Amino acid sequence: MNTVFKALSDPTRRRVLQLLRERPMTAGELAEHFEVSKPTMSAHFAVLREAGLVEPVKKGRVITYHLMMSVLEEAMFGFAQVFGLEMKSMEEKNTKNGLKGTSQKEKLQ
Amino acid sequence: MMKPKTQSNVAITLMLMIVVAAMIAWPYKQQASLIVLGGVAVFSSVWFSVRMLHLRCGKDWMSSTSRREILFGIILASMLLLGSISATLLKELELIDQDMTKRIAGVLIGVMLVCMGNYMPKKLTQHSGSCGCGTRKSASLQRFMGWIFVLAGLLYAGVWMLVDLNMTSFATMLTFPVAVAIIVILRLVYLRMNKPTDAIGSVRHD
Repeated sequence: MNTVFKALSDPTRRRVLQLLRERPMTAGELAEHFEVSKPTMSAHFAVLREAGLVEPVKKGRVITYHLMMSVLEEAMFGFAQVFGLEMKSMEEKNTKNGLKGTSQKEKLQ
Repeated sequence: MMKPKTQSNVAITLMLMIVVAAMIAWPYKQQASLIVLGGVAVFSSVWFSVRMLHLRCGKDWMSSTSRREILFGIILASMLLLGSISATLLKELELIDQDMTKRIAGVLIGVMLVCMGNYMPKKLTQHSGSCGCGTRKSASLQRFMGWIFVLAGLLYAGVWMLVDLNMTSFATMLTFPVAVAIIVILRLVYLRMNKPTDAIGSVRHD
């Protein structure tokens, strides 16, 4: 279960899963949706594969990824989406507060 | 998802527990114990015969899909057998009454439906498509059915736990239609909340 939590904790991997919910896609098709390097994408695919959330099917030189989420994993994915967004907004708030704090400190100095 | 080794260990532990429970129940219910022991014998023989076939074909047994699916089936069936023999034993020892035995059996069936539904979307039927495009609908249907089974199983177990025994037969008939209705409503709400402008993948991510 740890590997599943690890896989769902990253927003890029969650977006990959969202894309695969629409239809199975090749690695190239998936990579087109992200502005990250290919090795980074491969690492993300490896984490998802290890967690058993996606299944790669190799045909010739093309690897097609299929979604393999159980109902429980899909529910966890839903929660991760919701709480992931909340965490992001909290992080943004904290960053803003942190910046404000810095400027006040700077002013004091 | 369980690791292959853990899955085998769980299956073996459950089967051993069934054998122990059947041995204890033997003096009280010989026929039931015999049926349960027969079940364990069938599971073991299926497991070993498929394993032998795999080894003869030179395939990797530990990572094979058939191994995973057979073990999953064995675990589910073992849980059901263990629950039923335990309930029978408890009833014979007069620790629970007839009604409670019925309730335990109902809850077990509900749990089995939940487990089956949970695993349903994991089954790979999509291998048949060349690029997977033609199997998109079947994958969606599998997910939809999985959710229905899980929800119906939970409702079924809930009915057997909470509803009066005179009403259970009627209430259990409603579990699947209610589950379908809930899933359809939730889907419609989801589609309403996620308009096409928020389509998945439309925003590029850094």
